[in-house]
Amino acid sequence: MNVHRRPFLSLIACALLLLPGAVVGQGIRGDVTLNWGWLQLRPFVRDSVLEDGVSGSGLQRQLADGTTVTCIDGDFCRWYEGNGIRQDITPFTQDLRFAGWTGVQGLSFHGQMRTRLGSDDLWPRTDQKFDLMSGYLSFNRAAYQIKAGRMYRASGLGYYNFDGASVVWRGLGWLWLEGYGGWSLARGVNAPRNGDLVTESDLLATDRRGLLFGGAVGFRGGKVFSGSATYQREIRTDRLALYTERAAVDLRALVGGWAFDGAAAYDFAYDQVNDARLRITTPALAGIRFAAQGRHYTPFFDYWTIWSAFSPVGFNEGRLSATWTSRAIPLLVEAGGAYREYEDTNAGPANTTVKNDGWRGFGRVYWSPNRWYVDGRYRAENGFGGARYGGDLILGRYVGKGSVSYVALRGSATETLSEFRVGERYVTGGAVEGAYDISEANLTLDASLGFYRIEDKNRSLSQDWTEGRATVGLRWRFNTGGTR
Amino acid sequence: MRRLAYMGALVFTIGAGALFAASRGAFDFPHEKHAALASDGCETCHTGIYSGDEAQNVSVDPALCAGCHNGQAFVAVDWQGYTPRESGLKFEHAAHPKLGCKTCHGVPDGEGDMAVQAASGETCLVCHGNGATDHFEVGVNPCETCHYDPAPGHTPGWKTQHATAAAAQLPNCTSCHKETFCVDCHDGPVNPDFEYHPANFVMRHGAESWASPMECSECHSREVFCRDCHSNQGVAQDGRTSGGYHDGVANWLQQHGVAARQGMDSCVGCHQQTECMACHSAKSGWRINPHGPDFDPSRAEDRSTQACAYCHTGF
Repeated sequence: MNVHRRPFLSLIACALLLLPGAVVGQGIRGDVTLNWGWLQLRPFVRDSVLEDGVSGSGLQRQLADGTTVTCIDGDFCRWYEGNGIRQDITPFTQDLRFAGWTGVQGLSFHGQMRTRLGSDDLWPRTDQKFDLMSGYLSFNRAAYQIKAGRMYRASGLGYYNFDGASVVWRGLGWLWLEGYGGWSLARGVNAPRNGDLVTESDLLATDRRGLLFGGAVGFRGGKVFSGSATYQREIRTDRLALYTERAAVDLRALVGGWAFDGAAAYDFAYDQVNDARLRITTPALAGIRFAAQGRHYTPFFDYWTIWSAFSPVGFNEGRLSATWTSRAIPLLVEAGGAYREYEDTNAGPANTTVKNDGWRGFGRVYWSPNRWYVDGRYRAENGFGGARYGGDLILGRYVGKGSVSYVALRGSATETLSEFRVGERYVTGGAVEGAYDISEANLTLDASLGFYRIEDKNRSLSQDWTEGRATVGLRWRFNTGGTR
Repeated sequence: MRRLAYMGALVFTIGAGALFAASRGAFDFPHEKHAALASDGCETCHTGIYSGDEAQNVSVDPALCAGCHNGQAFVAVDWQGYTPRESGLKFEHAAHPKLGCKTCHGVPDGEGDMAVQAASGETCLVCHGNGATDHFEVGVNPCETCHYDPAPGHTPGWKTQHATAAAAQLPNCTSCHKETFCVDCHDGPVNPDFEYHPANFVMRHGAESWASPMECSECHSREVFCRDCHSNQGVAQDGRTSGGYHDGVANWLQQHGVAARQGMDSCVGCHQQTECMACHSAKSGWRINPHGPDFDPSRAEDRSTQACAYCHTGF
């Protein structure tokens, strides 16, 4: 496992040098968050019998009890089932984040880090004990900002994290320019591309770090128009190949209550528009805001993988939604749906049973009379590969001031259809949830405890069972004062 | 050319839409002409502005205007009072008595107390913006300090639909939000508010992983995050290709190409490259060509011969 402490230590050193003085404007604020969880899982195991012991012929057959199995002539017939053994998972994370002002106008330091403990190998990423998510120095003035360290950058290309520097110039007010570069980090991992976390996950994982360079230009036309264009590439440190080369354009117009959002991201190696969206939101018409969106999506894969060479196809999707927020009573009603169709795959037999379309629907009602609230949410997702129908109904009451402290009961039900596997799964259950803010101590506590009944249909060997889940969280905020 | 057409259509549609939509109202009362009336300051006309009397604190009483503009002393006006537009702000004048009117309403470089204009959001951010003390930093419900839900420009479904706006107007976002605010959801320790993912998403995510309502890999590494859990739960490929899991579709082997091209995002959550290369490689195995009809090898080769060399000799 890679532990990257050097940027963090540099940051702390700078902070210690700058903090002790009694300079006006110095200060640090942030929070510490602890999250402990408990949940139970029942992993799958693969079982098999000799092919001779199964009647019938062909690749897929059925055992006497109805279980579908995959058979290879002269070999075994195999299938997957839950092994009936519950495993308790207890992941525990601790987050520290802070922003500090040095007393030098515009100079600040920022950090966010996480430790993960418990449930090694049974919960994602608990093998990454320490994670420096960001840690950088910032010098921010009216016309420009310079940052150095580990930082995220959000753009039309998504969310990238890297170790390096960025410079933003916004001297004209309506125009801004940005250049950035450094050592790239694997997305969603905050670790180098050649770090253990990545290399242990794939036999063909890259053995080199990546250098990331990018530039962006953006404009703002009053309060009406805004937009940006971004170009970004990542290069292997031995210069033998690229990891990514992409560009994006994002445009927004806000006029008279109308919102127009449009975006496109382009992959140079495979000549593909990965994500293109156009979304129009109306002003409130009789209290209701409507939104319509057209979207094209084709997944993007890093160039060190072969996945894009397999010619994944995209889909085109239309989505409509309506949201009504009442000012007279505390009520919000939301509903919508989407339909998508996939492009021609040029693969498989003509009479394939794999669908080439899908749809989704969603709805929500939130009503909060006299510090009580009812929150009902429903989502349906139907497509190739799987479907899910279900929702939650929450009855709660806010406690004290604001909406941070509350106690609630949650009921939940979900039906899942796994198209590529035999069977349907029903999950029903409930939980008690709550949070309490002790503002005098800058402390917020939250906790939940729930149990969910899991029933598999059409899988005769599966045993119904009840899963337990609990969480406990604590967040402590600190602030020594200080200004920008 | 088709890609350029997409981009052009995007720019045209947004531009046309913006021109189509109506413009906002202006703050057009001629304050300078009425300077002589304001002997006691702004409260002369805006009675109750600091007392919190909601009926009086913004709009001037029409009867006050009609006292002079009666058609005899001065030309009559049809002033019915001012109806504030819905800004989504919780602002109350009474809560800001120490600022003085010109702090927010003064015209830059304007002369006299009557050189005023409508306040802008930027003025609020001088005190309440990112970097200012107490309000927006790490407080409890920081947005609710100033905004009803939703905040201006935060259209319905904002938590799952803000990507374009965030990219297009990033400097605006940072006026209120620190970077850690984004990380709360994009790399946070817990599932926030159950809007991005519904509650108990670990039990519900299967269908959505195929459907890609959002790009999973933006926050979750397919190779590390997805495979980590799937392999530990026994549902990841472990090098064997003898089947047993995808038993819900007859003749899966013949049909898997359709599923793979439509849902490659999801496949990668379990399968390593070498497993597919067992059949789809020009070097060994069944040598089945995985490339689609639009595949342009020269573009891919220009950028990464390394990936080509996995399956092809001569690189």
